[in-house]
Amino acid sequence: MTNLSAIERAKMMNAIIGKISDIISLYGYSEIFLPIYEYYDVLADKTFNFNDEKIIRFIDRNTGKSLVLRPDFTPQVCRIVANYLSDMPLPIRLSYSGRIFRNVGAHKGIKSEKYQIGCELFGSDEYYGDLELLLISRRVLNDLGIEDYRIIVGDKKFISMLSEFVNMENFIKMLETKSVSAIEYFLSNVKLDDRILGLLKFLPDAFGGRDILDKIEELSEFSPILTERIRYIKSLIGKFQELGGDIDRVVFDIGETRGLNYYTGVNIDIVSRKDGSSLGGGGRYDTLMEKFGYGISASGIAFNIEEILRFSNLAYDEKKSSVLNISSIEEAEKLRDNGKEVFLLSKHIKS
Amino acid sequence: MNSVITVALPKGRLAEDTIELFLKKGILDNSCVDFNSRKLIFEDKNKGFRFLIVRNMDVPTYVEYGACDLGIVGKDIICETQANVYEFMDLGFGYCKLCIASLEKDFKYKHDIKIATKFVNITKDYFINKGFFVETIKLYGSIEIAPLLGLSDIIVDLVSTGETLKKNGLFLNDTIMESTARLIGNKNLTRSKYDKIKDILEMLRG
Repeated sequence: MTNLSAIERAKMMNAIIGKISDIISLYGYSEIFLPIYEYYDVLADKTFNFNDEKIIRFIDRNTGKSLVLRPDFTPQVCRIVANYLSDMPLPIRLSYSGRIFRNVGAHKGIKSEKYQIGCELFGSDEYYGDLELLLISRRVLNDLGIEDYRIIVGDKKFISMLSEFVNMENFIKMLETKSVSAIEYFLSNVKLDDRILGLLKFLPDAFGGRDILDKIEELSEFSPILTERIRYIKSLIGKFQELGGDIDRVVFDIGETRGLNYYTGVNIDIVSRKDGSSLGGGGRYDTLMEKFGYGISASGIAFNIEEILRFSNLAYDEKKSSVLNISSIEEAEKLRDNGKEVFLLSKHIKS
Repeated sequence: MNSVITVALPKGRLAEDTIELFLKKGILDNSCVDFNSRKLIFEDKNKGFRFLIVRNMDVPTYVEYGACDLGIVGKDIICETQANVYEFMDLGFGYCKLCIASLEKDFKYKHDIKIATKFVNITKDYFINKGFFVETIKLYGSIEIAPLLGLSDIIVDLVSTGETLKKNGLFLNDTIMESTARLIGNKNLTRSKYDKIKDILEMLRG
């Protein structure tokens, strides 16, 4: 898909990784290194979209336990925080970078490993944590020169609040595919208050620009908690815009259901408008740390480097390796002492 | 933003019905698709559409991977490919049934029966839910021949009138599912091109 040679590709990947890493540092994150594999039991109920068909696993010959090539960094970072950093003052900000692995079907045209760089924020309040995700995303995308992107904002808190009004299990399945025909049929067979019905009917269409939030607020008027929640999102986006966020690149999707059991609040997907590929994503998962025995809030975001590579116009550092016609190794070493890159050609060297 | 919407259409009747529907609903002014030509890509620059003619089983793939924004395909194909796409609406046309047929009028299911079909995923799921372990044999066409030659015990295939079954001496034993054409959409593209896609959805509903 790209015309880059292996060398150019590596240079470009490094440039992108370096750039994102610099930006994450600007927000006060420190990098940690994480193991490539992890115990199955640690990940099983704590990983986004975890399922046996999607992981690559093997047996630890010493303990007989299942090991998994990491499919996601987040639970690993959580484990480190809960086990080793619980005496650190909050908030804690950690970042990571490396490959994640997944088991992919044959003939699907997707690779089984991908390079990610991301960050996790623990113990911050919701508003500033959520805002930080948006600000980091914006800065990364702008600085990498990605033009045609959209940040899709969903909210799992709003969706889960709806379960107070209706049995969501069947409804969620239909909402997942935005299947208007099925939802209309389903809702015509359940007895519900007209006001909640009006809101549910609108949800498959609840994606678009900022006017979607106004519409949802209007339809949620009957419920103080729903209204309060949608106002929270509005104030979040208002602040983002105030700080120079480009609202035209933000798409709201209040009917988004992906990761309903994982995310507990706002979640974002950064996508290319050219082919819909996912450049990154993240969100808030405030119940995740409890599972590691340290119940603090958590949010984070990760960027997919290979996807970004295809759309970034970042100019990688073309440091010209200095002078080729150096006549001796001694001379070359002297130049290197002074920090010059030297590319030595043996045919110039006098013996 | 002035962007072109790319639509994957399955070769054949479904594609013709779709274009007709788009014309009726005013989404298109005139048909840019010439079904008699051997071309596979048609463009309506005026209305900002591009239509691709592909194999029906490939429609969900084109859409899921973002090569197309939208697609038209039968529910049976969506179930078989298990594509992760939006399934906005039932378009009502393209009705067919996915059926089980065999040489016997009352075929009794048992373990280890051999089943010839194009729809191996749906077939496996159906029999696992019934508690039978079965062997599926993937064929790409003329499935009806398989039991006649002893290649399989039964077949799972699409039936519209039942004429083909009858002509080949097969009996219809069971219906697994009924199917009609659906409008599907790539999840990320639908949302990032919401302005245009929502207009199309609205016109189709209207």
